[in-house]
Amino acid sequence: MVAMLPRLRRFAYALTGSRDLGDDLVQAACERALGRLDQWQKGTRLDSWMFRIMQTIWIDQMRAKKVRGHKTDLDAASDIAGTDGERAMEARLTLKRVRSAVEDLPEEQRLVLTLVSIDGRSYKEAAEILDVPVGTITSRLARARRRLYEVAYETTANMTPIPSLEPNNG
Amino acid sequence: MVELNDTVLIAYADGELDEKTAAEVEAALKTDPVAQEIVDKFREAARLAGEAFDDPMHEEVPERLLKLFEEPQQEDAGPETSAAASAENTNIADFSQIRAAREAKKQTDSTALETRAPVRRFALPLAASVALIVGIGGGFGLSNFTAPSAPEVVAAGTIAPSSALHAALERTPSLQTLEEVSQDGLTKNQIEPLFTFVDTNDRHCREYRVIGSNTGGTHDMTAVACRSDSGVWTQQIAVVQEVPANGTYSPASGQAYGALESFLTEFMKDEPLDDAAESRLLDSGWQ
Repeated sequence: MVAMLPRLRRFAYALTGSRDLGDDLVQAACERALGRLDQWQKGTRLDSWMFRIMQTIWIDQMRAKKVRGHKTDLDAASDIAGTDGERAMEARLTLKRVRSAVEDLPEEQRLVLTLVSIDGRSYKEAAEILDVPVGTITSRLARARRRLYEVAYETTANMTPIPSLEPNNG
Repeated sequence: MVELNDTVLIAYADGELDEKTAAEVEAALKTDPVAQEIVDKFREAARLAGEAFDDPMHEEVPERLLKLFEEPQQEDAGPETSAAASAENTNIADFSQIRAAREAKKQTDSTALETRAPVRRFALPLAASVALIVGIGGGFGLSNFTAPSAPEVVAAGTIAPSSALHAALERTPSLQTLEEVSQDGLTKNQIEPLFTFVDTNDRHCREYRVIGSNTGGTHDMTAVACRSDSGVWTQQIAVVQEVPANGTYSPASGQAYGALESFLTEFMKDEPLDDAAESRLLDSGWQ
């Protein structure tokens, strides 16, 4: 479990949009997992089990509206030092917009994006963790990535959104 | 011909399509620049997402999280924790008995072992930070062993077929030691399978101990790995004790070892195999 802490922290960071809230979430999940190690089903992946615990805790917190105001943390965390060249600064601004975009995604899209595009899980694994069909994973992921791309580059002068093959893609 | 749409294109971008469909999409993309652009931008979006949240992968894990695995949990000793704790306590006795029996046997056998020097099993300082590593976090190879002071660098997972650990698990009888020394002679690993058992999924598994040492200190790991039918060993759980060459030790707790015992109790189908059964497996290539 210690070995997977960096990955758990990355997952929680993307889920909560905040370093501090993310670590709080990791801590809560580890405490719960250590207390229930006997409930971990043999033959299943421990990391998937941990992700599921984290997701459950996070959604509970969201529903209870215990978590507020994490957007400010995003801004604080990505203060631009200003010593780098313009390109580096632009790249950092882009990543900052990416974080905002992820933050603003619907919860179910953010979860899929985090599992697949940030943690590198297969569609099948993500489907198992979230308990939804693979087809749902694919469509949520496509919507999330479209949105993310557009927000990331929205201020770039020559930005063109991802084109659509379907007349009413949304 | 496959119909290009968002779901097909994103699955293609992520390498999730089967070979045949992927080849069809690849052919179709050659004549469809718009679809190709979508694929490129889906990939770019994934790259951005990965990069945007990557910081935790490159920094130290905060102390407050590591502490969770080092100290016995004092607060929140609800019914769950105490149940787990009592389960651990009942199991530890069993395994210490098994180990004691093996250990006693080893003493008797040691004259019979050809050239191996006896391994000092408990010669290390007992007080050191103990980390519990469970699960899968990438490849574990002994050659990656570089930093004894950072328990979290050791990942559990598939054991590389080219590694000495893999060789030991495949071929070294329990309680004999395989030694691996790096070319510069500075890093040394002693690998000692402890016992072999069948798990509840009918896989063959082995508990083993690896004592690695380099100039930075000593690294003492007790772990369990199981073998798939195709011969892949996957580490299931590991308890690592880091002993810096020069440094202060924090008091060790039995919690991590307790978890190892709990794990064994849950997954072992039966008693460990006896020597005869184990040699048959080693000799037959685990058939």
